[in-house]
Amino acid sequence: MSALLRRRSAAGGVVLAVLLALAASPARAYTFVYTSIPSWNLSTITSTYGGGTQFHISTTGDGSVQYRWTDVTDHDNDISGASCSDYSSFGDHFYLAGVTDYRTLFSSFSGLCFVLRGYVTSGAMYGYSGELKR
Amino acid sequence: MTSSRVPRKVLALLVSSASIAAVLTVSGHAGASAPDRPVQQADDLAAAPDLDRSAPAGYDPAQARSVAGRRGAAVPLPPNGNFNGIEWERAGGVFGDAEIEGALEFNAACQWMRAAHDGTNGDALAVLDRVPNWPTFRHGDGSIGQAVAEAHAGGGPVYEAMLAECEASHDREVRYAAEQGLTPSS
Repeated sequence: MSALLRRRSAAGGVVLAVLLALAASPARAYTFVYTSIPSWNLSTITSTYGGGTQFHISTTGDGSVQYRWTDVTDHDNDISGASCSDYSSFGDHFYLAGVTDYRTLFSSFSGLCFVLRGYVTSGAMYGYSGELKR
Repeated sequence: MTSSRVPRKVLALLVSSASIAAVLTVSGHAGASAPDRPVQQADDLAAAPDLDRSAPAGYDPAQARSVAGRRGAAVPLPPNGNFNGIEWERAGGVFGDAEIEGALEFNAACQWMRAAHDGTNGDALAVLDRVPNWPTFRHGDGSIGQAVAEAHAGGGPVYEAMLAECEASHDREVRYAAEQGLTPSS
């Protein structure tokens, strides 16, 4: 066997070992916690959902905090997560009107406490519902 | 008669002096037990009614800071603790009574959590014992109760996570308070 063939054979063995290791490792299964966010009123002035209702990143999810509108919105809007302790912003997402897919607001460690805040870029939205995934 | 009145006055004076001394002694004792005041405040807060989260939010950031200053007087804090680092102005928008109260209670719980970790305050664990019954926590997911139990035990994942959150928040608060020209919490 030539040196070239031996090197190719060795490289192939490494690739095979990596593939087998990946196949053998169990896929990490996450169980997210979903919370309905009913009837949220938003204006151009930032306000907090539910009179300051506090949420926590779940211990069974992947550490992300995601939000989606379940109602079809008619205004562009911005939803953010802020610290329960000092109200600093952890992150946000800008939703174009009508978007109903989940979008990530931020990611952090399990147990982290946050409040949901939001505003619309113009006008107001009354009674629109959504869902929080964490 | 006259000669007997004088000793009575002297006696009365002595009795009076003794009473004052006794009162001072008692006061001194009360002063010595002053660290129990946070525990009493924590008890009072645990007995407070539920928050009304349905009330509309109407305070701008400056008003929220002012309201927090007033309401914060009823929320126990470790020595040199304060709420100056809460980012009302940077967060912007409007705030309601319930969320201001909630932020104060969470922030205070954090300050006591750090005090318990540092071991610098003998009341810390006693105050933390009462935190799960504070209005903003009592209908929560129960994680604060687990964190407090783990604080008693000297550690645990929920406690460690909350402590990390509290320390990160404190770092931000110190910077923000300084930016606002306010005294940061210790």
